[in-house]
Amino acid sequence: MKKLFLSKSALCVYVPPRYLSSIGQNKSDLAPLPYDRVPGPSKWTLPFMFFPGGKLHNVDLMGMHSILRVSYGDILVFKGYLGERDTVITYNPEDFEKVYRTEGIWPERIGLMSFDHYRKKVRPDFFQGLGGLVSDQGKSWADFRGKVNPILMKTETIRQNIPKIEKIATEFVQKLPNLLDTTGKPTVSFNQEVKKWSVEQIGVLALNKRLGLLDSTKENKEALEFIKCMNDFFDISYEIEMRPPTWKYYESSRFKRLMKVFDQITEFTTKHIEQALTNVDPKTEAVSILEKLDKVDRKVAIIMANDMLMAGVDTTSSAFVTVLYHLAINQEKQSKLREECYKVSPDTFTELNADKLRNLPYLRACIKEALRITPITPGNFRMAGQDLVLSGYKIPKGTGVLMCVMAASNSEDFFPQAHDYLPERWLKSRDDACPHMKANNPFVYLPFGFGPRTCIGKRIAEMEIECLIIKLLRNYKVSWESNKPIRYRSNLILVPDENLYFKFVKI
Amino acid sequence: MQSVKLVQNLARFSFSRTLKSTSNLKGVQRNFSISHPRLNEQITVTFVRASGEKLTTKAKVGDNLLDVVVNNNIDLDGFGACEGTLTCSTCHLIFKPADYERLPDKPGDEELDMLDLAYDLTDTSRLGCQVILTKDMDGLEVKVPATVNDARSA
Repeated sequence: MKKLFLSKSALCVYVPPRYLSSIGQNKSDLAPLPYDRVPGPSKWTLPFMFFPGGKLHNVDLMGMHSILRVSYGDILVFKGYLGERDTVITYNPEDFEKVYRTEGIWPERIGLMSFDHYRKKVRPDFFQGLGGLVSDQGKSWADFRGKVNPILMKTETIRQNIPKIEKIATEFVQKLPNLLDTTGKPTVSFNQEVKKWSVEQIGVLALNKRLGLLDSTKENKEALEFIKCMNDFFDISYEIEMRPPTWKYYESSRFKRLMKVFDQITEFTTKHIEQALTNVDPKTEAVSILEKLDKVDRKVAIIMANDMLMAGVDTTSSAFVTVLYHLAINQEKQSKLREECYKVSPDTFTELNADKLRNLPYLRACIKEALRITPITPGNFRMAGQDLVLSGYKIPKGTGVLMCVMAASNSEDFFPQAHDYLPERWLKSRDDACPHMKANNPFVYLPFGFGPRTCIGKRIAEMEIECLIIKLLRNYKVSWESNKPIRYRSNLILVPDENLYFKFVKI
Repeated sequence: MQSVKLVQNLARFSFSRTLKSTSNLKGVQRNFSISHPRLNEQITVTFVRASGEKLTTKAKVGDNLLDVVVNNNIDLDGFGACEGTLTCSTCHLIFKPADYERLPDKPGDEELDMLDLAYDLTDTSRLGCQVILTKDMDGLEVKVPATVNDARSA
C-alpha cells in the first residue's frame, strides 16, 4: 500500500503537458467557429451513407466511427430528423472532459426513444410515470438515482454481495469440464454459456433468486426464453434507434415485436420479484439488493431490478469474453495475472471476499486494457449542460454530444503501440508506471462514463468479471486456437461473434 | 436553484442517516479500531476555500468529510456531485502533509482512479467522501481546490 501511495506523489509532481492544455487554453477556444460550421453529412446524404453502396453500409460501430473520423475530423454533427435534436459526435478527449465537467448535478442523457415510448406511452399502467435511470431526466432522474445509489454504487455496500457472486463463479468453473471435449475445446456455444452465467449472476442480485441456468441437467426454458428476448431487445432497438423515428407515424412489425419483447421482459422480472418479495419478512434487516431497494420503495425496486436484468446481461458477458480473449492471445500477460490470482486464491477455489478483492492492480489493469482495445460501447452520451466550445466550435447548451471513446482509445495519439495488449500502461506504482499515461488526458478512457450519471452497474460488472477471471485462471490455462481474431457484431453494444476458439487446459 | 440544492441536500441527508444505521457503523469499528465508538462525539473541522476564506464547522466522529459539508450546509459549489459513490472527483480536498500521513485508511483502487480526474491534484489529495472522521482529527484543516468549470464555456 505504501508503494501505491508513493506513486501517487510521483504522479503529482509531473505536470502533464497535454492535460494542462485542455484547461480552456486552446487557441481555437479564443475564436470559436459558430455551430452551423460544424462539419458533417447533410440531412439528405446521411441516410444514403447507410444504403448499399454508401460509405457506412454494413459497417460495424467501430468501422463506422473510424470512417467518420477520417472523413470529418475530431468533431461532426448528425442533424436530427423529424423534430429530434442534433447529435454532435466528438473524438477529442479534451471535449469529453469539458462535457463532463460542466454537466451539472442532474446530467441529461437521452436513452432509447423506443424504450421511453414503451414505459411512458404503452405501459403507463405499470410504470406509473417512472422511466427508471435510462429514461428519466432532471429531478425525477435524481430522485430515482438517489434512492438506488447507496445500494448499488457505494463500494462498501455493494461488496457485501461478493459471496453470492463468487459462489456462481465457482460453480461456472467447476462445471466447465462438462462443456469441454478431451482437448479442452468447448462442445457447446461458449458465448451462450457465458450469457447464462451473466443471467444467473444478475438474477441472484436483482431477483434474489437462483434461476438455475448453470445446471446442465435441467433446462430452465423460461430463463432461456428470457435470454432470447434480451438478444431481440439489443438487436431490434439498434435497428430502430439508428434510423429516423418513423414509428411515431407507423408501427412496423419489427417495432411491434420490440414492444412485445418489452412486455415479456417486464412479465418475467415482475413475476420473480413478486415471488421473492412475498418471502421476505419485513421485520428482518434487508440483506439482498432487492430487499434493500424494496425497503426504500417497492416500485423503484421493481423497475431497478428490471433495468439490471436488461442492462446487466449482454454487457457483462460481452466484456468478460473480451477480457478473456485478450488474455488468451497474450500468454505472457496471462501468466503474470495468474501469479496475482494465486495470491488471492492459494487453493483452487479459495473463497473470495471484499478484503481479497480490494487490491488487485494487475487484474484491474488487464480488464482496463482489454476494454481500451475493444470498448463494448461506442461511447457516452450527454446533453451539453451549458454553452461549450468543443474542438473549436460553439456548441449550444442542450445539444446532444456523443463522446466516442472507441476511436480515441485505439489512437496512437494517446496510446503508443495502440494495438498491443499492454496492461502495464495502467499500473500506477512507481517502478512500472507508464510515462505516456501521465501525459494523457485521463478522460480519454472512461468505459463506464463519469460523474453522477456513471453506469449504475459499474461495480457489479467489475466484481462479476473479477471473480470469474480469478477462478478461471487459477484453475485453467486459456488459449485461442485460431489464427483468426475474435469478431464482433454491433447492436446497441458490441457483442462477440458465436465463433469463439477458446481452449481450456486444467492446471 | 436554491430549492434544487435544498432538495438535493435533503435527499443526501436522509441517505447518510440510513447508511449510518447499517454499514457505516461496522466500518467505523473495523477500520479505526475504536472499540466503543461514540458516534455522537463532535470535533471541529475547517474547510479553506481557494480564496483563503475559512469555513469552520462542528462535525460528527464517524461521518465522512462529504457528510460534514452536506449536513452542515457548507456552501461549496458543485461539491460531492455523485453523493459519495466514487464516480466523480468533485469532493477533492487537499490535506496538510502531516494530516495526510495520519489518515487511517489509504486510498483504494477506485479512489485513486477518480483522483486521477481531479483538478489541481497534489500528493496529499483525497476525496472527502472516503475520509471518515476520527476523534483525533479534531481541528483538522483541509483545502478546497478552486473549480474551473466556468473557464471553459464560450
